[in-house]
Amino acid sequence: MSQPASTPSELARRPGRGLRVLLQLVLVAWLVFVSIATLVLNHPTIADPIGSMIGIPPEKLEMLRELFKRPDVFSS
Amino acid sequence: MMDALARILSALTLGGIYSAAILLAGIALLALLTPKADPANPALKRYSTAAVLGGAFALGQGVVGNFFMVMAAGGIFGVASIVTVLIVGSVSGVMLRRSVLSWQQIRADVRELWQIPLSWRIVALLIIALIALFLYMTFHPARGDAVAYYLTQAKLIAATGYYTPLADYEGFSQIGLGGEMHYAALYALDTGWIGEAAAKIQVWPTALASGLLMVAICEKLSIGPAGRWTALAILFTSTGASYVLWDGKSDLFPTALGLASVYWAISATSSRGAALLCGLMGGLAMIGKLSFVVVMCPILGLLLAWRAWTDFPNGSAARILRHAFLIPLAGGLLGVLPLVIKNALIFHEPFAPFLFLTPGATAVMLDQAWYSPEITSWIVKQYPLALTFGDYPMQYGVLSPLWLALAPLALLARRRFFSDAQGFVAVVSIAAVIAVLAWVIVRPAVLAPRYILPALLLLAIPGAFAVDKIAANSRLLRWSASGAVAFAVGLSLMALFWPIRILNSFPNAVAFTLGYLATPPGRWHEEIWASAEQINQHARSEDRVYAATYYTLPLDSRNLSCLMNPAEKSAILAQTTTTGIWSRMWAAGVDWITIFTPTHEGHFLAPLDPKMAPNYLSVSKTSYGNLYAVYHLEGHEGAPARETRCVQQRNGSYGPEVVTAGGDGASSQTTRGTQTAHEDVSHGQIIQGIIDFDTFLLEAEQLASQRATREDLKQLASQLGRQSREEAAALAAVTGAIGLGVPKSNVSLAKDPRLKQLASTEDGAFDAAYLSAATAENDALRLTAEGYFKSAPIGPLRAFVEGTLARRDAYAAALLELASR
Repeated sequence: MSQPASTPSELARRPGRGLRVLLQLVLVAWLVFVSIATLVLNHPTIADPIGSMIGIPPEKLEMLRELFKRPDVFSS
Repeated sequence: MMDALARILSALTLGGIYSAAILLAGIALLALLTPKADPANPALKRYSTAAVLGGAFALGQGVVGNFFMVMAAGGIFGVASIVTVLIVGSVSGVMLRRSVLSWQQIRADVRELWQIPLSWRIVALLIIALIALFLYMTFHPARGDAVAYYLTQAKLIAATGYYTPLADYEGFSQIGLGGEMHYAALYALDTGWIGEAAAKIQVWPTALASGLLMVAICEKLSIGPAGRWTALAILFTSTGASYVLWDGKSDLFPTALGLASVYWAISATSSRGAALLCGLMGGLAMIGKLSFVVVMCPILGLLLAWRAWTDFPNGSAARILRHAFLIPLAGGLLGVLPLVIKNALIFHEPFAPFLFLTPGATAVMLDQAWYSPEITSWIVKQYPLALTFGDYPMQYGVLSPLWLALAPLALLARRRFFSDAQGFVAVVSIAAVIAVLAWVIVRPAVLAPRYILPALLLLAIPGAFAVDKIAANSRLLRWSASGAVAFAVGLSLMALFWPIRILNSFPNAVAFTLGYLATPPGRWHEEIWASAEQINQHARSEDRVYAATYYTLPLDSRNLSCLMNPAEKSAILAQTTTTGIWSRMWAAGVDWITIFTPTHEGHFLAPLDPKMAPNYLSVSKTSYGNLYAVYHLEGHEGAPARETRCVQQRNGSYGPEVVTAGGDGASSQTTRGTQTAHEDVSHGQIIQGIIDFDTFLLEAEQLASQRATREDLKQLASQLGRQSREEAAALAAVTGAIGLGVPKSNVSLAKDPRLKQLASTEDGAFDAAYLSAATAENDALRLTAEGYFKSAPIGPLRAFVEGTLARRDAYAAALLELASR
């Protein structure tokens, strides 16, 4: 908290910091990806109407959810 | 509207006073066990506000709840004893509060928590809004398992003043009920809606205590305010925690204890009190949720070992060994003691449900497998994703995706990750991963975040650490991380205004809760409450209810206290004709039936048709949608005497009573009949009979697998003919008792046309019960039967045995006839 904050461009100007900036961008992309996955997979009642508005039918989103939602019977 | 407001305020007042008493009791205990002040700065206390408030509430609810459980097992649980305990705890807490809390400390801690950039202040406000909304959501009616057991069991204990196991959940009641006893205390203080709402509210301060303990653990690991808010966000955006926050389940009570034990494990060597607290709260957490044993043992073991390792250069080996291992172990044993005492007093099995003194006894609840091997394999392969995005049967919520989103950020500070707080950041994180892996190994086919919640919540630590250490050095990452947290919290807030995944049929949970608050329970539109209300309104004081449902919470305390028990239900479920079912129900003392048709209609071997009632009986049926139905039985003149009724006990509570000779309404004929059967068949004879009938049951199994030949049938008939009266009675009783536990749909023999015909021609319970029993494996059959007879009085099975004996010869003849075709 006490250290001064830097922008990616400031970091990039420092020697050997390019890789670090790239890693930061990858991490930001990861945050965005998980956030969208959270909306789509964990909040279908919110995601489906939004998906429909931008042209993604709920059936397609449901196919994604099926990866983590398999009906099963009690084995015991 | 004013009525609704008055009810809400009353519930909040009762719940608030109770929570305050629990907190004060915890503060008193904490003050007695922990050092008074920080030696480095005497003006400040040794532990932060978050640690003291979170830890005190966790400790208070753990100790008081388990004390109540032991009191209930001893039969001294009532309003006077509850109020006494709360007053003593409160007064002690008020007197000792200055030892662990000071306004100076509180102001300093709050100020520090608010020393965050603007983006994080917005996140913090969103988190506070979400936590506040969850308090409102606790007014939503209980649902699911809470309606089946957790609240219902508490209501029954409050009604009877004794640890009375709930009908059909006798075995399950061997678990620890430290959290549920708070529900019981509030039900005892008010048996109506206010007590129930106040009971449900108790989970909210417990969740808050869990949040404070997450903050305290972060403080201990030198994680700054942004990281602490992140940890809080991960807790409250995890539906695995939030669903059980407002549905009436009790998993958060032991979760708070688990987190508290982790906090004190990190400081175990600082004082004897800290070491004792670590063990005590760990033990209480494990008896509060038995599955926590699998995760808490590795977590506490690793943390204490690391604590000892890092402290060796600074202290004597003997002292470190004592503080890091021996005292926590003693504390742990103290923590599990309430469960041992309760199970010894109630079930005569002090080590249940892990170890039984009775040969052959087992606890089915510990050996669960929910999915097929294929699905289990699929889940294990994607476990982190299944925990975060899964929607598998009975999973019931997920861990917040924030842990997955933020944890990789720790890559940018990996050196500090392993060195900060004496390496405890890494050790806590690794311990959490090991604990989750241990659960995957031990119970791969049970995916339920609530079963391992403390371990899962500790997975928040890498993300919280990363947010604090990394995001602060980069505007891009700071805004991205705070944006991701705000997005997750915002989604959780919005979700409560949308149809929730587990509440698909409701427009939105917030509006739905408001609807409930505006009307009393009897007018709620859900079938379960409406159907129970019919019984609560019209049942007479001596009436008894047959609950053909898992969910009995809506029944009032008196009806709950007089539910038909499993042994009584056995004799009814063994009847193969509708008339037989009604006759047995009337004789057994049933006045009302509440049935959840999707799951329980098939348990009866014949349709529950009111028109098929015997002449002396009128049966009326009221349907509530497609889910629930209520039947009411009314006897006319000439109706046979009944075996049981509901009566008021000496302490004012209600309970079932067997009607004896000379009792109201008991005819001498009925009394003589049951006495004859009782003389003929004793417990000992029946159990001996079960053992002697191994061969017979093996042949029955052969029939079940449809490999029976004519010769088999002849032999079986011959054997049946050779049986003594006692043997036949024993077999009949066994098969009758077992038959009930086997749903009709499981009777594979019914598919065999030969035996189906036999069952249809015989108007007796024996055939169907026999067919049901024959589908069970022999050992399981015998053990289950033994369990039945050891736990239940033989009385309710008498009539069944009598009827079976009368049909024995006819049955043998039918078998012979079948074989000769």
